[in-house]
Amino acid sequence: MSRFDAIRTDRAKPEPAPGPPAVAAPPGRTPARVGKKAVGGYYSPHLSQALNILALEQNTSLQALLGEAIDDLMRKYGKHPFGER
Amino acid sequence: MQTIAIVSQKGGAGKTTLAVNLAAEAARSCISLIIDTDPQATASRWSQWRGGGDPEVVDCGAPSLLAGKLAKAADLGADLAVIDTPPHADAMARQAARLADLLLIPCRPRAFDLAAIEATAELVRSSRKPAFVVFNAGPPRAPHVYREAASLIGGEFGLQIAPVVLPERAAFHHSAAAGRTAPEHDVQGKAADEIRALWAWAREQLGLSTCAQAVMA
Repeated sequence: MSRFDAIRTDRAKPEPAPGPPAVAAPPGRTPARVGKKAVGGYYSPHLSQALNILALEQNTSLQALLGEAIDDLMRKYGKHPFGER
Repeated sequence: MQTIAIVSQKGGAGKTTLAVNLAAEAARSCISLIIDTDPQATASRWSQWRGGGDPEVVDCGAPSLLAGKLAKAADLGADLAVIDTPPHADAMARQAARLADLLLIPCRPRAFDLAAIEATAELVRSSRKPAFVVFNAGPPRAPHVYREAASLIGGEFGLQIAPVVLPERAAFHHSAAAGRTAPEHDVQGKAADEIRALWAWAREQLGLSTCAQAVMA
């Protein structure tokens, strides 16, 4: 039995990281959005449609696609990507 | 407990070599462990080759688990955690940088490697943690190479440079394959001196001059 055996078993059950205190989701807000900020812009309906089609084609969500696009943008400008999806 | 994160976007920069040598040197006087966040699990494999023992290697598969694992390691009496991060790690590298007390960036003093450090430089700046480039796997006797590399890294990227260099030494190759470290492979070798000097400097940076509990190697 090694000293740190207890930590090895953690993999299967993620737990909330300590840090900012956990905040209950306000009414009407999905828990996945708690502690997150919306980032957006206004574009043409064609652009919006094209993004949604791409998400369907790639079997993913708009949220994940935008995270991917932001990582590419970070790399283009020599910044470290965030890897958020 | 103090935490060192070894970060670099570039693969093959020597992150795991630095992590295992530093953590094992620390384990001679402190309770240290390695948190292996690399999906390739190189540090974990080294520990298997070693047949277990100190420093223990604990893997961490997701950035969301890292804070909890560090907190528990501290509860279990660890003095030092060394986080080995994978290359091209976006969320994991950011989380490791956020949670660490000291960031070490191994880098070969070569043009392609130096250029690739730009994204890592941005990561460490945004983390606002003390961060140092550790020159690694360069020629043992070529001071001008290190001077040129240092002026690029200090000037263009605004990063600090660790005062100890780890040049290319056969001891790192021979020892890793046997699940050992350079000082364990040849206690009187140059690589051993350099690892001891690097740990002495790092523990000074972390204020770890006295560990809670001395352990025998």
